[in-house]
Amino acid sequence: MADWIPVVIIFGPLLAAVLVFTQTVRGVTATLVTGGILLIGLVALGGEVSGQGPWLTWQPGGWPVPLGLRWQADFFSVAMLAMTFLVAVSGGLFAIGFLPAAMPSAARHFWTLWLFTWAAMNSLLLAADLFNIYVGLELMALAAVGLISLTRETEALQAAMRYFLVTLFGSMLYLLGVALLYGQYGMLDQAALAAVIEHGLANGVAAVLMTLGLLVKTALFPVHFWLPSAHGKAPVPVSALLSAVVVAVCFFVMYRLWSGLFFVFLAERPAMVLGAIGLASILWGGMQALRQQRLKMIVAYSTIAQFGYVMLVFPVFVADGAAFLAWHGTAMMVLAHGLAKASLFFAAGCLSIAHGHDRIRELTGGGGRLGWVWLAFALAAASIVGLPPSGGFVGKWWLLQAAVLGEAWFWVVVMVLAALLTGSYMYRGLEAAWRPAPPVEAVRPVPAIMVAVTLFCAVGSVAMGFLAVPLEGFLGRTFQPLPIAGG
Amino acid sequence: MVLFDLILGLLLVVLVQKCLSVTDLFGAVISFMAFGLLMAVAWVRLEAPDIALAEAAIGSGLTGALLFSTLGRLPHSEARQPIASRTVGSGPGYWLAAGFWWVSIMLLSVAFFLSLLELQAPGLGGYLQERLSESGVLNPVTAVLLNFRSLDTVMEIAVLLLAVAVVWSLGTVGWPAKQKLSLPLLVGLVRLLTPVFLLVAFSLLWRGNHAPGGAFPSGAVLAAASILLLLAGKTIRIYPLTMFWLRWVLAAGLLVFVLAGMSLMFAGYGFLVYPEQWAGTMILIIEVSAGVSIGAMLMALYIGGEPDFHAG
Repeated sequence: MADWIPVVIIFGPLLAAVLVFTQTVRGVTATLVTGGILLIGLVALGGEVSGQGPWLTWQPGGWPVPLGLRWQADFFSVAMLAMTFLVAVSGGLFAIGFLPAAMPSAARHFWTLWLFTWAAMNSLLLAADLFNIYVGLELMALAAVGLISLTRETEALQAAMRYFLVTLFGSMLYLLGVALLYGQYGMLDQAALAAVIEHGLANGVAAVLMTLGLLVKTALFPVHFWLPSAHGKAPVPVSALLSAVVVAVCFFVMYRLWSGLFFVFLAERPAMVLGAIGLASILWGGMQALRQQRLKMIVAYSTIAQFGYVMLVFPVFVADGAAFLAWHGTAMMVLAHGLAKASLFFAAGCLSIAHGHDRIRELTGGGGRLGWVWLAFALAAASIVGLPPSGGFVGKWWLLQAAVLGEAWFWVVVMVLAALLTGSYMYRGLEAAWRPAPPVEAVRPVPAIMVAVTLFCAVGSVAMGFLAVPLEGFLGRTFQPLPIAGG
Repeated sequence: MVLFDLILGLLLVVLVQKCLSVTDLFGAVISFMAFGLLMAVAWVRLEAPDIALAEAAIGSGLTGALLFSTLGRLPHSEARQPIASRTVGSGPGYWLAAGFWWVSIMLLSVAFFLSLLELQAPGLGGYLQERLSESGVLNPVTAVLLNFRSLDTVMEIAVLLLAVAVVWSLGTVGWPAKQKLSLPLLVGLVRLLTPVFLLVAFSLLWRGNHAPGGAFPSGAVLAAASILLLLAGKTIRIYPLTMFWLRWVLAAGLLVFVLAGMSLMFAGYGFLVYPEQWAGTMILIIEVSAGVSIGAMLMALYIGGEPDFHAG
């Protein structure tokens, strides 16, 4: 098996970060070159997974489990890595236009932290070892804190500090759970543990602690409170990366736990609790998004609601209608949400550069580049709401189908209501596009590269819907909810 | 000894309580450092001397220094003033939420302690002893950190470098740093102690091969020595070229580790897979570079902010 693939994917961005830190390479160059190298790595990984899948595993260090640790990848990991790649590169391109305009003094540090975050996300998407995941979570959280506080404005610093404390608390909960599992079995590998784990108090407490820790990091109700200020006050490319990928990676880790290690616990009641958390997040995030006065805050609150929606996979899964369809739908939703959310933040950023603010009441439509920005916003919003034929639609449709087949009528109603709520708050943002444009000289010019990136991400999240058929074939062939212990 | 352990455990709880409830920040830091030292004793009692070393050096010593340097930066009145007791909220909604959290945390804690009772704690000791001879070192902790689970350690060093990058992104400090203490004895003491510190750091690094020690405690001792030098007013002048070298010294630990892993991969062994006859040497090289870098990184964290030689 090609040994170099995970090494390049994780340590490519990390080495780039170090080179930018030592000021050997310029940040933009490093990010774009890393993107090029990672593209090769991802294509190779995709080929390997479809050739030798469903699961690939590597042993960095060369020691067998339980002494050593493992990396693992299946098709979902590849898709998440690809989404991370797209958002990280798009965010980088967006930053080329954004940084000189918005925060020239922080540009040098931005790229180091950006690349560190990227490396941490990639490592979390490949890690199979519970403790290695903890280290990855720390790396990601610390880099994110640095990125949020880059503007050095008081509000941003406060949000960063709050995020730092909350996310550390989440890490501690996660680590306590890992310690319990290690104390029980003397192992830390997910697949090895999944093979031996049984019902019991210690394991149950471990599952609760680890899930709670990850819920904090995914910002679900009632531990969501840090997200709106952190994602709302951060610089625009950072908000995009945090909302689209960092949160999704935390969900990914939780999903991995519940589809493998804690699969034995996934009975009706735990699934209902997870679903209820999702429902509460949908309602809270949606209602708050409806009340916001600033475009960026609507987008930030919608992250809470959308990940609440994603959590519905658990109750739908145990309803046992079409369990695989539920997993596929969730994967699709997370992926489409990533691109769409990045595009929404980018669009909000373009608008606030053009108008000097992002207060919805005073925003207007406009021709030229702003017209393209609004088009991107509309497309991305359509994907978030779940209008056909977008990627968001396909994901939500599959999940809904699975719920109908499983006769989980309550959750069907929840999903329909959630879609209505999402439509309402997204429309509130979009409404401004219909207002007549102000005179040209009142609008500041937006760099073309920012508009192009915004549109690219929006089109990507819609186009994912057209890829539904090949994607489902891929998912159906290689996507197993239970990782099979390998290596 | 049971009595000793009982008193130790009780003291730890009391110190935590004091640390959290004491009203001035200065007192809280002192309690925190005392807690760290007693915690190190507790680790010795648990027969984990490696963790005890790390706890004493980093958990108590360096963290304490970091906290003090933070207190020094706060406006004087704020550091010494009692922390104002804020009313977080009121009304039925607040009490409902507070009650919910209190009950959940209590339930979770009780379940946690009950589940501790049923742990079988098999550990990895058996596997470890079996393969220790292949690892290139004699100290099992070093074998785990630098060989069996080297990936974790690479990433932990990355976390430390990232911490420096984050601190630097927050601002600069004027250089030479104005942290000199006016204690007449300090200069003489530092002159006497610095060689000893260097010797201890080196010996900890060397011992890591067969006894408790290694890069992290050694780096902490190096950092402590530099902090004392700084406090005694023995700072170096910084030129643009110095900053260049400082950045590379900070990055060296991570770079050497990752590049060693990658060259092994390209040589056909696999990422971070040491060939058995070279394992000891490679671990030593990685530990020395990591130790020096860790010392520099902890020092950089203490200085706080990127040294700005223009301001000096």
